[in-house]
Amino acid sequence: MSKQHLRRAFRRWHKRAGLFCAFFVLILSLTGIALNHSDAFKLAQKPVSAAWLLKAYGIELPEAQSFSLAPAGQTMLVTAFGKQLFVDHAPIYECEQEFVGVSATASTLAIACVTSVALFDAQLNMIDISDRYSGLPAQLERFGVCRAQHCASAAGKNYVLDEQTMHWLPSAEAPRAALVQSTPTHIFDAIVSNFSGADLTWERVVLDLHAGRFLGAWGPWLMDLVALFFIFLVVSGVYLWSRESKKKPKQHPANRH
Amino acid sequence: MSVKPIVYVLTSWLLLCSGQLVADEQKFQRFLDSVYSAPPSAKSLWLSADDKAEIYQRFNYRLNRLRQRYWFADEASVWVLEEVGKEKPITMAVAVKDQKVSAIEVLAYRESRGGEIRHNFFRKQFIDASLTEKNELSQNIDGITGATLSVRAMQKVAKVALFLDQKAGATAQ
Repeated sequence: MSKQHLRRAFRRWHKRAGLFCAFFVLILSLTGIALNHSDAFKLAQKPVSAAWLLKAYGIELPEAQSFSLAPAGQTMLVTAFGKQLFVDHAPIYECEQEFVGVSATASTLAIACVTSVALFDAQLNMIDISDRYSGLPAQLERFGVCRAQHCASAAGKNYVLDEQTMHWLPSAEAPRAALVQSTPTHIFDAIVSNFSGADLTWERVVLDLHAGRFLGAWGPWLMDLVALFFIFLVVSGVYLWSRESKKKPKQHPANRH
Repeated sequence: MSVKPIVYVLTSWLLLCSGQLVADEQKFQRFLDSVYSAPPSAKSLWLSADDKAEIYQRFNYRLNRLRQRYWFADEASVWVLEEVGKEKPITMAVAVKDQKVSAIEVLAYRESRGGEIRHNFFRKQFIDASLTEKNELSQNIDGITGATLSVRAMQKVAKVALFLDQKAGATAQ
């Protein structure tokens, strides 16, 4: 192949490779910028709630459990959705581990998880939290009311909560759990849009886009192929530049004799 | 082939794991024991909306409850506070005496990296740190490469604990 033919071939394939890579360059550039400033954008702290994206990751939405409660006479619908708790459609609390139960007394609402019990007033201001550092019985199993107070059971023993000191006192009665009811559709739809309990953050999504993992098992191989095209662009670009720079400079018409 | 080394390794690993499982539960009790000769009962510091707004404005820290539990005896207060590092909250205990940090401990570290802040070589930098008028710690805290956000979280928790100690002292008077 003559040098002229080689140059034409390089130029032709350089253009084709550039066109092929354009989309990927765009994706890599945008995701790269986002990752460079991940802390400023707080991508790691922004959970994904879009149902279609969660589904793409194989994450199934949890079942909703709703309870109609009336702390201080104010009726409200408390819904447990995975580890998240909602009052109507507004998120109010998130369990570190599994949700155990809810209860309401004449003045307060309590949400119990395996490792914490959060106490709220009737206006849903969080009053206090009982956790393993403040005497919460280990590994709560059941939660509810007994004698109009918040009660729990753990390791076969029953406890009642002193709301002033947040101390758990032995109780002779077992907690009566609140009744589960069906979640209204409009509440469920609103809760799903506020769901953040899948442990999937936007940083993870951007990282996967950057690495090509969004195309399943073939994604990384495709990005490897794209990388090879990038290398070809560099080689062909340098070759074409070097051939162009070796051409004799054109004479100015005024200098021709 | 002797099975003794395998048994020793497995036993050590099991002891290490069980020790770690127990450590999170008992770590705070050991912290209290190190601060007090006889650990006191917990007290509550009630926080108004203005208090919480002031804490947020001064330290960019959200206290989301109406009352904050603390322990107080022998002129020393202990506070258990949480702050998010990169993704997950880090639970820490801070002891304050004479308006200076006298001890600080990580009770629960949930991040995948940056856990160097749990080690004594890092935590001892906080000892005797007080709060300046500019809402900063009086002592320089050297950072740790790869743990920037965890370091910042611990600094923030120390500052808030110092502030709450002042608040609790003022309230008690």
